[in-house]
Amino acid sequence: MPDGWEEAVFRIERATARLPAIPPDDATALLEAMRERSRAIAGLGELAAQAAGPIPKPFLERLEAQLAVAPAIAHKIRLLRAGAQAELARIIEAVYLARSLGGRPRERCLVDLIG
Amino acid sequence: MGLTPLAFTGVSDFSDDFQAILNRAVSIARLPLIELQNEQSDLLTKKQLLTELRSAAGGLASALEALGEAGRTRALAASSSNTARVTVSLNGATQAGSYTISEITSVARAASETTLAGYETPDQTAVSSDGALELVVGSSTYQIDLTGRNNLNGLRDAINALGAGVTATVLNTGTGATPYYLAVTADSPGAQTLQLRETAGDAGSNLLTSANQGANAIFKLNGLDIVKSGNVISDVIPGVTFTIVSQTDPGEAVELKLFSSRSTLATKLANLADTYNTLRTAVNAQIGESAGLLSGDFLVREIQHNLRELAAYESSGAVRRLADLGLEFDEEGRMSFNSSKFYSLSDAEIAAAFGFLGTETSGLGGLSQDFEQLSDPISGLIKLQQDQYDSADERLSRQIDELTSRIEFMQLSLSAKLQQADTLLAQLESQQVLLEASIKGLELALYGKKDK
Repeated sequence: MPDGWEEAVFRIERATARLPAIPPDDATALLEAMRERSRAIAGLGELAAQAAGPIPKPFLERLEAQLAVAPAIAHKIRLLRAGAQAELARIIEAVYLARSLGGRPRERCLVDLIG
Repeated sequence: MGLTPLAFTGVSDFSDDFQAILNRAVSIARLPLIELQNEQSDLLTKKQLLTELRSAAGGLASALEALGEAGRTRALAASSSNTARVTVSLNGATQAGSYTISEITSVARAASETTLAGYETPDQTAVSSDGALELVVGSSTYQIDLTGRNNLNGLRDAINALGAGVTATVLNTGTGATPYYLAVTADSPGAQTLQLRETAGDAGSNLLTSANQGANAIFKLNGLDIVKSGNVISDVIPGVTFTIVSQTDPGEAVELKLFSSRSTLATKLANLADTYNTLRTAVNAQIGESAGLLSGDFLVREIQHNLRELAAYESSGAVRRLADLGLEFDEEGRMSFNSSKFYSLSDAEIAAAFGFLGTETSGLGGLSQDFEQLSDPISGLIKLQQDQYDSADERLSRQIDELTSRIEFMQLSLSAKLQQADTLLAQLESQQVLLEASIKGLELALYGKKDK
């Protein structure tokens, strides 16, 4: 078995494990962790393309576990997104209220509601 | 491969934390906004209430001042027996009287002449042989130099620039070969010489007609001959201005009467009751259980105090208090004017009433100053209070603007978070596709070979 398998799987596991530990409002760190996970998975893909012999089953099981954790991660991100969207709606309400109080001319809405 | 939502069933610390952060941020922004909104709303209401109070206090001040003026002038009114001949108005008179105007033989009018000859053009045809003319207005003479503008327009402009008390205009009759004429009219009425001489000092060289050299008002007042250059005359009878309108017929006379007018006084007293009640109502709205936002304001207490002083005002003499003039109060403190009682007063009592009313600065009328001190639109106490509210309003507006900027920044930040969440989801989906493909390939390598 090639030497890189253990390291490749470990990189994916480590990147996945980092995600829940990052403060949810630290979008930069989240994006960086996700990019790191992407790089780790890409590295695995390259190894898989070059694989010449059989892969030990435990490695496959560890990879399948990483595959299985994705819905949970996606769920967290969707929750984050839904929360942001709800707050954005309330903020927009507050923006209109503030503008009406201040007598400032109504400006074009800076943000489109996404999703 | 698509992502399966809601497979994660546990309560996410991740999302809870994020929600808490969002809620805290929004609360920080929203609470001051609501407070500012309430504060601004209160300020607006207070300013409106003060405006009402200022208007009501100003109304009462004016009513009292008018009564003071009536006291000083003894409510004099003026009348003319024939307004088609003479009109009359008061100009500070304080004494009753009667005057007769007769033999109005002339009504004052302004001198007005035109050139004897017409001119072919207004801007080409010469009006003077040597470009030098002399204008005579009454006893004054003015030299006119038309060098470079020896035509009607030039002459018109030169005369109007003299400041001689006349106005020149160019007329266009539209008739004949020489349709253009110059008209010269005195700015004020009265008989006076009006000539435009070709040769200085030579009346025979006058270029103007002599049809209307103006006229004075000529009449008799109580048999005395009077000649005035104008028809509006205010320097014959002290405090009275009268205007000569037209000539009298032979033997005709016009009577001018100055008299104390009960109806004038009654109107002013009724107005006092109305304005008193208006202010009282406005003030009472700020007192008691259902008081408005000005409850407890020193201005309210000040107005209350002044109203009490007015209602209780007393003087000496035959007319000592408001009730003696028919101004009465009901159980609720509303003032009303009993006109029957007022009109039943004797002439002596009316005369005494003038003393009670005083002047604009003394007696009952003098109380107007107390209310003017409150209502003066520039330096009144209410205006000063309004200015303070305006300053507070400006401060609030600045705070609201700052808060608005903060909230707009939060809006942008949240929008960015949304976009970042979408990016994360896209990345995750891409990762899954790649990971799944890798695993399938590895399974094939592992189990496919094993099967063989």
